[in-house]
Amino acid sequence: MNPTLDSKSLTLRVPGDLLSTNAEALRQEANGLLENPDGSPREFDAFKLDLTGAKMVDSVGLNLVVNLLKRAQKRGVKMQIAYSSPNVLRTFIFTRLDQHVNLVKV
Amino acid sequence: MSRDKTSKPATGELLFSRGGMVAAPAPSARDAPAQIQIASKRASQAPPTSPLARHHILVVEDDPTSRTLLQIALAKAGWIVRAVENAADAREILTTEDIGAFDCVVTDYRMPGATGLDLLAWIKEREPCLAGIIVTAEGERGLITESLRGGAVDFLDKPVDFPQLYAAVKRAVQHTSRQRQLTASESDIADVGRAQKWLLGVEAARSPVGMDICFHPKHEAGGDFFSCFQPAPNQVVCLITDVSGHDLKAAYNSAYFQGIVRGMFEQGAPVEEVFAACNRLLLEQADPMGSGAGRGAGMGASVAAGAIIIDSVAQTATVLAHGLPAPVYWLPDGNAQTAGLTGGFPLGWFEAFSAQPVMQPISENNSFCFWTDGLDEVAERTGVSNLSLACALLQAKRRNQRLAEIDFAADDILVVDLNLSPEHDPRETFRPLLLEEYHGGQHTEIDRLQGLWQRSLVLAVRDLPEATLHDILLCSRESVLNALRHGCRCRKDQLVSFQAAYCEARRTIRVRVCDPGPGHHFDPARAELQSSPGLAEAHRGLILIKHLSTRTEEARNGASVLMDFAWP
Repeated sequence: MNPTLDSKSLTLRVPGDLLSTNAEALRQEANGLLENPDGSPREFDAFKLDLTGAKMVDSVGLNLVVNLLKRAQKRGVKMQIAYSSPNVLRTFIFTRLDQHVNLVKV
Repeated sequence: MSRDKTSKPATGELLFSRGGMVAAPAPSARDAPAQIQIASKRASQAPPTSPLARHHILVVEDDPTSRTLLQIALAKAGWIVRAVENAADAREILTTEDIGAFDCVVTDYRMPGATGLDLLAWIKEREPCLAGIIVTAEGERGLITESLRGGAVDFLDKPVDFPQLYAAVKRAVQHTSRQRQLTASESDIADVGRAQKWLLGVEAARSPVGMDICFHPKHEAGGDFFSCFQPAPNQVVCLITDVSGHDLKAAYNSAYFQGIVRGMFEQGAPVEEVFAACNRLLLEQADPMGSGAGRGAGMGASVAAGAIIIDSVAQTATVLAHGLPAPVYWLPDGNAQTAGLTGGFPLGWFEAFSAQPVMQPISENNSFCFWTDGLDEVAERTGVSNLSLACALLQAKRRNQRLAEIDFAADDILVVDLNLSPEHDPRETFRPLLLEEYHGGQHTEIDRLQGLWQRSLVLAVRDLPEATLHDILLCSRESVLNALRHGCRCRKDQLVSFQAAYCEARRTIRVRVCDPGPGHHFDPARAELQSSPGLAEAHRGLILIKHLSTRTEEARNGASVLMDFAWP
C-alpha cells in the first residue's frame, strides 16, 4: 500500500488487485499505518481506500475491506472506497458492502 | 517459371568453337571499359566446351570493345552469350524473353543510366535464383560488400583476368542451378504438403463419424497424419501418427506406416498386436542386420501413434496411445475426461513393448479430441491449455485464418475432433477448454492458475465480454481455493478437478470444480443476510458465485459445483 496522510485524511492505495495472495501482506501493512509506533491509534478524521488500480477483489480481499471498515467505524471515522473498475463495484454490490461504505468512482 | 534450358540461342548470339585467343590493351582506370587480357600461356585454363556447359550468359557492358571481348571470350569457352550495352536493354531482354533460360549475368558496375547493382537488384526481385557477377574498376572495391548484399554472387576487377572470369562464371552458373533445384524441391515438398492436406480433407469427408481436422506442418509437408477407416461394419478405426522429422521423408514414412496399420486392422488384428508388430518392424528397419549397432539403412524413424477403435454394437471405445498425448472425450454437457494413458515411448525405440489399450463405454453423442505433441509444445510456450489451443486452431481453420501462436511452432501440429453423432452440430454442445487437476498444495499458486485460465479462455472465445471473463475468473478462483483448502485440506495427495467448457451456440462457459472432501451445507441466501449487516468475514466467495454466475448446480453437499456463465 502507498499511504498518504494529508490534513488528517488517511489514504491507503492498493496497487493492483486485492486478492487472497496479497491480502494478508496488505493487512499487516495497514496495521502499521493505522497505529503510531508506540501502539496508540493514529489520528485521522477521514479514511480512504484507493482501489482504482484493482480489476478484481476476491472474498479474502473483501474480508480485508470489512476489517478496515470495522476499525474505521470503531473510531467513528467515515470510510470511502475509490474504484474505477465496474467489476469491482459489482463485487461490492453483490456482497452488500455498498450499504456500509461510500463508494466513489474515479 | 519455365526452367527449360534446351531453348536455342536467340538471333545475334555468338557461338565460337574452342581455340584462338583474344588480346586487348590493358590500361586500368576508374570507369574504364571492361578490359580483357588473355595470355597464351593461360589458354589451356579455359574450361572445355561440353554439352553440360551450354548455359546462357547475359553480358551487360557499355563499352563496345569490352562487351565484344567478353562476349567472344565466354562464347569461346562454350557458353551461349547474349550481350547488351546497358541495364535498360538487359531488362528488356529478361522481360520479353524467358528470364529462367539465363544462367548468369555478367554486368559492368558503372554504366550510363542504371548501374550494374541496380540491374541485379531488379533481377533479384524477379528471379532470385539467377546469379550475377559485377565487374568493377580500380577504386570501386568499396562496392564489394554492397554488391554481395545486392544480389551479386561474385565480382571481378578490371582488367578482367580470363581464368578468373571463367571460374567466376562457372561458379555462378552452378549457383543458379543449385538455387533452381532447391526451389524445385521446395515446390515438390509444397505439393506433398498440399496432398497431405487434401487427403486429410478426404478422410474427414468420407468418415463414418463427424470429423474436424486441423493440420499445421512445421514445413510444407510433415510427419503427422490421421486416417479413419471401417475394417468391419460395426467398427471404426481412427488412427493418428507422428513420425519423427518434419520433412518429405517424414511424410513418406507416415504414409508407409499408416498403410501397414490399415492393412493389419483390415485383417482383423487387435490394436495391441498391430502396434507391437509395427514396433518390431521399425526396430528391424532401423537395424536390418540385427547387429544392435544402431540405425541402418532402413526407415530409421520412430512413430508416435494413437488409435481409437469404436465399436458401435458393443458401444465401446478402445483407446491406445504410444508417445502421444492421450485423447480427451466428452459428453454434450461438457463433462470431459482423458481417455487412456498419456505418454509411453514411441514405436521403434525399444524391443520391450507392452501395449495397454483402455476400453470404455461410450454413447453415440460422445466426442473425442486427438492431437500430436506439437500442440502441447505451443500451448506450454504460450501459457494456454492444450484444449483451448486445439479449439482455437479448429475455429481459425473454419474462418480460413491462421493463429499467430503457431508461427514459431517447433513441431508439426495435428488436431482432430471426432463426433460420434455426425448429424449433431458440435456448436450446440459444450467443448472442453480446460481439463486440469490440482493438488491441495497448489493453493499458493492460485494467481498462476488464474493466469492460465484467463489466457486460455481469451484465446478460445474471442468474443468473451470482459465482465463475463472477470466473473468466470473470480468464481473459479473462489471455488478452486475453497476446494484446495477445505476439500483437499491443502494436502498434496488430494486432487481437485477443474474443467471449463464452451458452447458456441449458447454463448456460455461452463465451469466444474470437484474436490474429494465431504462438502458442507451452505445456504447462500441465509449467509448473505447474515454476513452483510454484521460484517461477518465469511462466505463472501460463495455469495459471489451465486450472484455472478448465470446458473449453479451443486452435488455432494457442495463438493462438486457447476457454474454457467452466459452472455448476450
